[in-house]
Amino acid sequence: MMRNKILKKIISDWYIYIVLVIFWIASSAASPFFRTTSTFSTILVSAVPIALVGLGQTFVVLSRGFDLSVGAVASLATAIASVTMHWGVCASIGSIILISLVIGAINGFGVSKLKIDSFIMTLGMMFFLTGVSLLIRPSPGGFIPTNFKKILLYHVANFPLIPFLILVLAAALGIVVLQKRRFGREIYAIGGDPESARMSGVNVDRTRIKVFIVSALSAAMAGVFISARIGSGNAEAGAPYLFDSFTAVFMGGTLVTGGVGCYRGTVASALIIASIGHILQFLGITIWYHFIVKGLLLAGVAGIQLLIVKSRKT
Amino acid sequence: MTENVKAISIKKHFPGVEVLKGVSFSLDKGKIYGLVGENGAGKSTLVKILMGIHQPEAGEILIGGKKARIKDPSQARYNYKMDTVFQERALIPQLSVAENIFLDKLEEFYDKGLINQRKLQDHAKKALREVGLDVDITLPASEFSEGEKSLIELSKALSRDPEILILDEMTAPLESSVVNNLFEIMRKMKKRGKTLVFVSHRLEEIFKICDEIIVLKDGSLEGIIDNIQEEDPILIRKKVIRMMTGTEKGLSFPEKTGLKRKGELVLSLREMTNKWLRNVSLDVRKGEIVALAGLRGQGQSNLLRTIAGLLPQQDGEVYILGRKIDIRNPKDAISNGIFYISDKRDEEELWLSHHVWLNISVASIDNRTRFGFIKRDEDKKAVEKMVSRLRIETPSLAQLVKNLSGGNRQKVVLGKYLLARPKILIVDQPAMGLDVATKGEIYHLLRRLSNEGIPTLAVLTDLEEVVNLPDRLLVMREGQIVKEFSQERMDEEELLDSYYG
Repeated sequence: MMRNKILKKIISDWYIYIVLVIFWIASSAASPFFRTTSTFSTILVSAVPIALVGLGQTFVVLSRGFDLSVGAVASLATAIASVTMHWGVCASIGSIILISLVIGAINGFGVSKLKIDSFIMTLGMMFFLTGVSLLIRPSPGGFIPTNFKKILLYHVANFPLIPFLILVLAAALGIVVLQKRRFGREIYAIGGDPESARMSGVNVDRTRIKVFIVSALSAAMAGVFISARIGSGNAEAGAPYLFDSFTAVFMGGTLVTGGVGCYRGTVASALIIASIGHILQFLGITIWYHFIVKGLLLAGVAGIQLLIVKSRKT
Repeated sequence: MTENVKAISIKKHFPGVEVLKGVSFSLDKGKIYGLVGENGAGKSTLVKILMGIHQPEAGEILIGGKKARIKDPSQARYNYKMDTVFQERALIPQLSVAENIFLDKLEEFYDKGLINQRKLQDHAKKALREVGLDVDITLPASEFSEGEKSLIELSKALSRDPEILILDEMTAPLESSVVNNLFEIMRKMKKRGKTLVFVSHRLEEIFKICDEIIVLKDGSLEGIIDNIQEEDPILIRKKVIRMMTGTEKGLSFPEKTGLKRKGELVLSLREMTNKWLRNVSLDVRKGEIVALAGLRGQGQSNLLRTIAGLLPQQDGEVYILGRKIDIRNPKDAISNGIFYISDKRDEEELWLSHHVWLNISVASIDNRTRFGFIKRDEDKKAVEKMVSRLRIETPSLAQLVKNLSGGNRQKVVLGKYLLARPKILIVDQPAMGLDVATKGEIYHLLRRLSNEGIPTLAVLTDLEEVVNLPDRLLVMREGQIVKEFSQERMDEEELLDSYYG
């Protein structure tokens, strides 16, 4: 009986990793190209920006919000990187961090103090930032130092060591902050019941602002990584990651309604999403079907979640 | 005795309602205060103002003789040592009990920058032992019963060692043995010189534990009764109930003519049951005004809303003119001639920024159309007739409803439904918020309608109304009809007694 309970808990906590492994086994069986080390290393590298954008999105969704500006923030980061890298890498990344802090603070201020719905607030921010990115970088290009690219994508014998470490670091940070810090527990509290959180002495507004700052910051870091990968700035490079961030968050078990979920699931989902792209490509499926598959996946995951939430309520 | 808290003419209003109209009181150290009043009297708002959840619009709060600006619950807890077990439980369902207890000071359990779960759980266990609760503190709060949750909240409050502790309807879900335990804790705190405020609907509990009783009515302080332990409990009880339900002077009521007639049965309910109601059966006959009374929030309004199809009905039967009908939604009620008038007149009944004509015409417009087009002249005539029949004072049909007085607005609502030829009106507090003269006018109007064959089932709260308007009176308590009165003169003493169990 007891063992059964523990097993059940392990499955419910780690189910997404089981899905990941099954997916990998099935894909390897389906395509010989998939079961190569180089494929796995590319998957790992392409999962990094999804996991990074998903880090902030997990925080936001847990606190009962949405951040639609994450893709645009990532794009903006690539654009800024491509025009400021000649000042030096530190200066460039420093300015990106600073700008993303401001963006996050504005989003958070609008949502908490001005009581603008997060959907609307960040939708506006997304369009605003897309415009700014296009101003800075009307067409893809610019300068990203070769050494910077090499370091961020550093491989040891076909294994992407640095991207892997980034992934591990992000996972550790996300999990520890959410589970083991007051900030993280307050995010769950707000997502669970904002009014109760307020009565319990949580500074709801301040925590919300911090959440949106984390989101903008992690999206900007994703942008930096993307700029290293594509070797340039591109005002549209971050756009696909908005969609992927939501799929990763919801597939990872974080509920649309907030208060329930974890970052662990988002990371696994990021790996699954990255793998889906590859297997579809290897199976020779044309690119427009990728969109169809991704769209169905997000709708399906969200639908299942609503069923779960409903069944819990009754 | 030293003064701990002093509130001076606290005022607060929410859109459309004045919740607190200048409430003043002072609380001493080492005393337990009962805070009583009907639902909507302003108790919870007052508690929330003390805790900094709402800000008062006027007035000030002194704590320990100094002016206090309480901006949020954290300030109340840490700067002013004031804590509350809230009526709406403030536990986060997803977080563990231990985390809930220490949510706003989790960093005290940091070990190398991370929360040390063992330390947190040890402290939580200790806090729960104080209130006599022994449960698995790693489970999320959603796993616990309402009674357990309220004890968890109490332990949360006690763990901060407050000087002032407010318990807002904490005993409602508790068993009597647990309540006795709670009283023990309260007495101990009192001995240590703390100030306690005990909000409860159960007067017996208030009389048992409190030193003074603060009575609120409609947002005003109705009175403070002190040294209650030294007085005759029966007398005190009567006094408190009278203060809670008190009344206005100078109302004029129509004669209770429904009593003499034995009219045709219009509406019958049999064993109506749902989340808010238990086995409610009643009859309303032609020529009658029947009222639902009791303390506010005992199911009266929800009974009307259930009949109107606004709340789901789980069990029971409804008959109109002897015919059994099903009410699954408001449309079913309306098509059977049951018209509900909400007590939220401006929000739920009227389009304030539209004119009188539209407001009166809209509910029955289908009756005055040809091939789906409105027959304008006929519609106008019908509305004009209604305006003069009800003596609605408006310069023209084009007048916007928001420019009308409250009484005329209520008449517009009545007119709207009368045009739809109702079989019965079910009205929540028909004269609420009106001045004395207009109230009388509405009472006479309802009486006239019932004489003309449209009976009324109304929720009434004002004691004067309850005694003088209806032919028959049904007292509700906890979703049940507990007593019926149908005398020419109702006995007030007996009536008030029936409000409480």
